[in-house]
Amino acid sequence: MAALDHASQSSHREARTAFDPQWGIIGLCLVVVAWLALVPLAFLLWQSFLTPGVADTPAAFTWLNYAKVYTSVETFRLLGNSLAFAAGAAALSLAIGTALAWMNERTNTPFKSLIYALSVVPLVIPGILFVAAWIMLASPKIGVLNLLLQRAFGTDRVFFDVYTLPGMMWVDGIQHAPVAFLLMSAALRSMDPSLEESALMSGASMFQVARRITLKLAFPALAASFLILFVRSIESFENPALLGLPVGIQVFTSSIYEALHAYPSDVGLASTYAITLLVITSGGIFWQSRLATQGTRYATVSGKAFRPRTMDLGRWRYAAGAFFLVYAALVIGLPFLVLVWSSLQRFYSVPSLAALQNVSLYNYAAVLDYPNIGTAVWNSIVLSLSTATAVMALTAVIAWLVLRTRIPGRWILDNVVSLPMVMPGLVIGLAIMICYLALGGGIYGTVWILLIAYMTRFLPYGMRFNSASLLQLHKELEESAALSGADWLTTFRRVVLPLLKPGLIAGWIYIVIVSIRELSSSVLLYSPDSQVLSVVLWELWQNGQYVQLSALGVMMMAALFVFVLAAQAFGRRFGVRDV
Amino acid sequence: MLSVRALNTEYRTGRGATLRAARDLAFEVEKGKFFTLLGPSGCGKTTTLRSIAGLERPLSGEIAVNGRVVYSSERNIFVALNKRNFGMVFQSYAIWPHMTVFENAAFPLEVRGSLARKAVRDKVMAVLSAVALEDLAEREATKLSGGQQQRLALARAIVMEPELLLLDEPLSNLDAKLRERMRFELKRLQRELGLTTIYVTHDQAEALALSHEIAVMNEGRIVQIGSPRTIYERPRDRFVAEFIGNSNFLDGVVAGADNRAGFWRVRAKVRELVAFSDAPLQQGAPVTLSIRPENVELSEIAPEGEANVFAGTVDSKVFQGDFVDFQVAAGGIVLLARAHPSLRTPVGDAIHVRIDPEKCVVLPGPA
Repeated sequence: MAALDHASQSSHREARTAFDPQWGIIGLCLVVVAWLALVPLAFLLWQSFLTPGVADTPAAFTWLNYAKVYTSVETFRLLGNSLAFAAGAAALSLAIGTALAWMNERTNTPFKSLIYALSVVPLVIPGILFVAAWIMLASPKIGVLNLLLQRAFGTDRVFFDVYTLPGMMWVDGIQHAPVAFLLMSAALRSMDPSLEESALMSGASMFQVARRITLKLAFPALAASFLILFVRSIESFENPALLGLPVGIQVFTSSIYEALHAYPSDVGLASTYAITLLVITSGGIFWQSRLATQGTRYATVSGKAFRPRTMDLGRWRYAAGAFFLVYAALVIGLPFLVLVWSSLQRFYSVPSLAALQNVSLYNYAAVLDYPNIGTAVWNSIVLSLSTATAVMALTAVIAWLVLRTRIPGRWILDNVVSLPMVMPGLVIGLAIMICYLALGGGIYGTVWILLIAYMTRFLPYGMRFNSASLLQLHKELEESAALSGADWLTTFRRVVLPLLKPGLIAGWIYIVIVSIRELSSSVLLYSPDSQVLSVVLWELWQNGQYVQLSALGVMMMAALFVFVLAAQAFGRRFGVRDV
Repeated sequence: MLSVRALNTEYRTGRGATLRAARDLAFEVEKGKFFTLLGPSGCGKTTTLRSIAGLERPLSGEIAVNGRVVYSSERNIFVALNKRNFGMVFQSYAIWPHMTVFENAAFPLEVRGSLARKAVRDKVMAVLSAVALEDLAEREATKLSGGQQQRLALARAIVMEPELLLLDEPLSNLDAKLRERMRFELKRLQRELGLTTIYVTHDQAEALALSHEIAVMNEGRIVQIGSPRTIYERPRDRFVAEFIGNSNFLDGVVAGADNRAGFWRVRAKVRELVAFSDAPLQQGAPVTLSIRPENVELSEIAPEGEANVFAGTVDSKVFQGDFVDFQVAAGGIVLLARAHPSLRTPVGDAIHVRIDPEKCVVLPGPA
């Protein structure tokens, strides 16, 4: 009887709230999110079944794109390259990242504080600059490392060559090792140290504990991290475009780009590649999320705040410290130095005393005189700020809907918002291009289409930041506001949003940064009027203006670095733990 | 059996700060005894246990088990924890989630590798049946309830027949009912197997129920060591009296010795009371009287010919089911008394108080 009463009461309440104006706001958010995440995807799928429309013959339905792609030897080479590249890069970054995480969390390695500085690097160095820097370091003809070694040993042997599959893996792998480091540190930290301690107490040796306990328990986290890194690498565009395309090592992303930039451009073929790539990334992410649930089953959080014992590495700690330093040099030191060096040279040349005479700020002046530079800077700033604001606001409402209401089908909403996570930037760019070319409306070729692309791309990030902080928020805080007589809007504005503020700010900062660096969607959607900074970098590279690219890159990194520092200082005041 | 001498330890907080924990700690535990380190959080009891286990390296001191020195700062000895052969139950149980119940319990025997498969199996099954888990041997460890995980952790700790069993608040993650039942289980098992056991807890009821001997710790030092009864009935200072159970504290001044040995007349605010003290007292010295609520005897009719009797009024009372708590106002003080629920004196009525001199304990210094 009591249960019945309760049920009828709650259905009353829902019936009443169903007509509240709050549903206006919620409904609008739903429509926007569904539009962003689903419509372009539908167009992409549709396009993959169409023949290329030429001036007089309209596009027609066809299976031919798929038939052509899946019967072609070229595709299997492409698939092989893509998988090998992604797996190799992911394995390398996982190996480095796990070693760093373990040394940092469980041993007394020196220079520990350095590692956190390193983890910011992939954030502040745009991908294209990192790859460009490594070309200047290790290309067979102009690579500084090659030339220096050749001079030292008096040979013309090529020591390093980034224009190879292993070279691509190397550059991508070391660039993303900090991501692996963060993932594995979190995994190690969530592992109850007493699981290892009790094995030692049982009489097991260090080696037995590592093999039978630590590694087994960390396996779900390792596998899940590998898949995340794998998907990240298979989506990466800058690396295959800069390193693979010149020597004909093609992967999916670079082939999509080539199909679009061939004449006549083959949108159908590009879409088919894109759909294939989507299937791979979706599979990876799906598998990863299943492993992650298995991982949480293993993660037992201990009641005590005991820090795990840090292992004394003895003399090995110097080797471990050296590993830290070498890695820091590879990921920050050398790339940054080579960029600074080349930015100061009017014509690119290898570091030498003679070249030191030619140091000048000419390139900085030249870049600042670049005709579109003002527009590009302005566009980048406006786009990143508006993307971050719009995404965080939108996903705050969506996260609330998913976590706080009992609307049937809210899990669908959760998945729709997270859908762009499996979509590589290039695929999002392609889908949006197809969609707004077909729909018309004059959006194509303006900054608006870039805004739409960025919002789509970064929706999942906003959702993650918002739902993580909403989960920590006790539901009773809202309920007591409602009991005090506040309506939904007032509760949301006065209670939920202020309490979400740390997460909102952290997510906002993150999205600002990734929006400024965004290239792989922008490269398909920009027009001369809607240039952004990352596209300017891309064009400088295409034109072979390496020295000016370096100058712009150095300025951009400095600006991003200052922004990150300022954001962290500002964020600390608002209780934001990390950016 | 276990002897700890001049042990000094430190504690690293989550934020990397280092705090001193145990200070010049010393105690001996006899073979087969259940010894409890009891104290509030931060008193150094867990670091002491972890130092015995070998999970922490103390700053200085010496730890020996059965004459074997496992740690000595002077002689620079530190036996690795996996060579000490101690069993330990962690607060979080630390059951390995990727193994079955059997595999968890068999692990300590397997890593030693000295026993044949059959022998391992027999031993593990014997120990699992001792904790009533033999029917769940093939179950995944994560599928166990809290109480079962706790018993499995215990089985794993004792399967290798350790010289010493170390228990780090093993009951604190269980709900109240289960915790009480596990107390009996643990006590029975320990007494049957005769395992020398070191137990760490902040729960005084657990300590009283389980131990042969309790060491009460505060701020890194042992304040009092004794049997549960001694600790409860004869607390040495106010900290012990307050930490273990409830107590009324009355200010008083020593008026002189009473006619029986160990008994003293103490002038308190309410009246002169006869109280007990182990140590000799100085006349005129300020002292504190500690009286447990259950030793404040209440009656509606004045008891005759008894010591320590005075009158008061019922200030308030709280019915608790198996007993009633009375607040009795008398001579400007309020005493807490725990009485049988059959006493139904209404609030505001007069009531008579009697305190057995033996249960009225003198503590040094003013309250």
